[in-house]
Amino acid sequence: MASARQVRTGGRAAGWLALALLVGGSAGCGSEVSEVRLDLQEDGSSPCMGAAHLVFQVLSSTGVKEFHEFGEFFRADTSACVSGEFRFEGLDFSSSVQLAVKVYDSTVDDLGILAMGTSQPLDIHAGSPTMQLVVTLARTDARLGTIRIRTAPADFYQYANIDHLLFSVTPEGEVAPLRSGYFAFAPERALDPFPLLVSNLPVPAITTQMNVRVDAQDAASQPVHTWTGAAYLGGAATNPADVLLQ
Amino acid sequence: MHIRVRLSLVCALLLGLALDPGLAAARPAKPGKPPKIARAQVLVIPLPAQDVPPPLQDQILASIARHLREQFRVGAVAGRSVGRAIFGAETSGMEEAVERFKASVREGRSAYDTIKIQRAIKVLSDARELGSLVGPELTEPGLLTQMHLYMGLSWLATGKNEAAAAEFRQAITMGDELKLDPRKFPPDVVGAFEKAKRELRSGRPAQVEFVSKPAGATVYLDGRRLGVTPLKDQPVYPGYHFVRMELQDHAAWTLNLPDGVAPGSVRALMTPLWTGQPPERLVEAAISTEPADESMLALLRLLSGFYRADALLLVSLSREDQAIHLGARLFVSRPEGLTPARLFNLGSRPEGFDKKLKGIVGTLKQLDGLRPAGAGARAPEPDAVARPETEPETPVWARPPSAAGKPESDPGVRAVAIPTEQPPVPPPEDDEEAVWYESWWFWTIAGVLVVGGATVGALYGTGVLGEEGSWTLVVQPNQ
Repeated sequence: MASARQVRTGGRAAGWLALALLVGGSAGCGSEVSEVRLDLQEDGSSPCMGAAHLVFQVLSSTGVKEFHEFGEFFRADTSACVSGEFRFEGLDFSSSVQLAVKVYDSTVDDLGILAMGTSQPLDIHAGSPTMQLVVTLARTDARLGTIRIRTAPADFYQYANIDHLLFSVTPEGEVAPLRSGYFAFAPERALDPFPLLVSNLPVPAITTQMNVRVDAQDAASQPVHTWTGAAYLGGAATNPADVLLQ
Repeated sequence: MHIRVRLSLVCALLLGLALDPGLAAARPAKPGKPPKIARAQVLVIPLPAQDVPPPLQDQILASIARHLREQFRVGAVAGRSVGRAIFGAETSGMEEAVERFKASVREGRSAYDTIKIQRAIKVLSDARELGSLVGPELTEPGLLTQMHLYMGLSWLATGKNEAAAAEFRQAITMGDELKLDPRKFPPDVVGAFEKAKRELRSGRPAQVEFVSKPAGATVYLDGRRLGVTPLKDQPVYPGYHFVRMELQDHAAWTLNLPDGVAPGSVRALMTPLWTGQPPERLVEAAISTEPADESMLALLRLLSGFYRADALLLVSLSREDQAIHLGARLFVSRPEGLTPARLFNLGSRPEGFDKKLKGIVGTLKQLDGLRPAGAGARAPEPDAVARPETEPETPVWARPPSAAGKPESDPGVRAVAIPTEQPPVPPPEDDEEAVWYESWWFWTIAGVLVVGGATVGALYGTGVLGEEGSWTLVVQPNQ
């Protein structure tokens, strides 16, 4: 059994050692900025066809940070991914950081998720060198047919109280829409949400007219105005199919 | 090896040493000095109370237990599961309430389906009120989810989008896989629902561990079976939740988690079921000012023996208008005595309960006799059995009582011979011999420093603790 002196010495030593650890641990950390460069790659499944909304998620032990970018992120002729440079600053150092990228069209429901990709986990600490990371995007089971509303209808800006936009895409002669729901539209962020894209639509063997309807509503979900237009998908028609709303 | 990892290992080693029972055992014991008496145990028995909401009961019982520990240095166990263990679930009226809840949800859903929206809102509002009472009792998934889903749908139909979104989020947090069938619901409804789902899931769920003592309890969260304790890293999204744990021969343990982010850990002390007849007489006796007869005392002896408690505090809760009334009656096994019942008005403001309960607990002077020796109180009576110093605050349950109704002595426990006569209050422990390294404060400070140092070191080492500075994500341009 340990003597009183041994216990006293041991207890004191442990206390000092803990203090030293606290001080030493704190002193070792300076203020530095590291950089992770993300390279988006494709797996050949045309992941960006119809893409209008990129969501970058930084997953770490300190939580999830999410960044949204809106625009048109594909080449109409080849459907290849196109994006500018985006910088997201002020991210916390952490271990096992994973980056996830989700590709959406302009709609907000799950059918609008066109592609996804996730990086390998990596540790990012102060003083880490600049790292290169690759996320390979793979298309979900979303179909490739895409309708694009390039510009706002002529009278769009006459209605100042538009709060949300509903859409439906219905083949000519049919009643049930192929897709319907809401567009991602936040007037407080950007008054002009165009171009608006609806993807995950079938590409029929023969050219088919798709009737597009957009309903504007105010904050109380009261109707403000309705625009309609027609697009042609399939056969010899181009994909994406442009539509002019009136 | 990375220097931070090495630092973490050193810290972990220190932590291990600090917590090593061997080190604790190395503390010198004075020759000829008897081991210290462990804390006495007080069991707080809540009597069936149907008109006080369970969260309020939880708050009051937890507050009583805390003040008992603080003021009398006793171990205290309190909770609705104690009442359930002793009185059974039948007397609580809960089964009937569960049936009424189910019927209300069914009716609300039917009202919505037949486009009687106002009726649906009324019925589902009633169901929600009932749900806060019966939520922890549910062991079938989907009922709470449906209640919130149809409440949300009804609000949406009346144009109250914010209220609808809140209900949708709660429905989704309670029913992970919930989806609206686009063939059944119009696109705007599906859109609003999906939007709420995305809002909720944009955050990370809390990772909750569920632990019970003893282990092996089945855990239900909002009526969904999660598994058997111990359970780690169960994702729980923000919202309010109901936890229920069930273990054979033990009373069900329940908890209402308030709206918000769930705690990292839910720990249940399972209470063994009382093997005797439900002591219904106790309900009357608890609010009586009459002295107890011998049969009542015998019952209390049996209960205290079965649960290995040195004192029983009978607590009855009731509501008159908005005010909560508390009745309390204390049974102490040694020296045996039962106080008359006393009734207190806690008022109607739950935030003021704690202060009042502190005062009420302070009036239980009979518990002075249970203070550990050396804490300025009387020593225990003869035949007292000391518990080992390592015993936790919660009692070791579950042996059937001996014939005399007293707890069987633990073979591993050191019995202490105490003089038959009531000794004078002992002086503080050997002032002249008292040395700093034996004092509680030294070991507390040393422990805090070592554990703190190790934790901070480990967190820095693993990078969990936020380091100064930040990093930047650059998405490189494509084509």
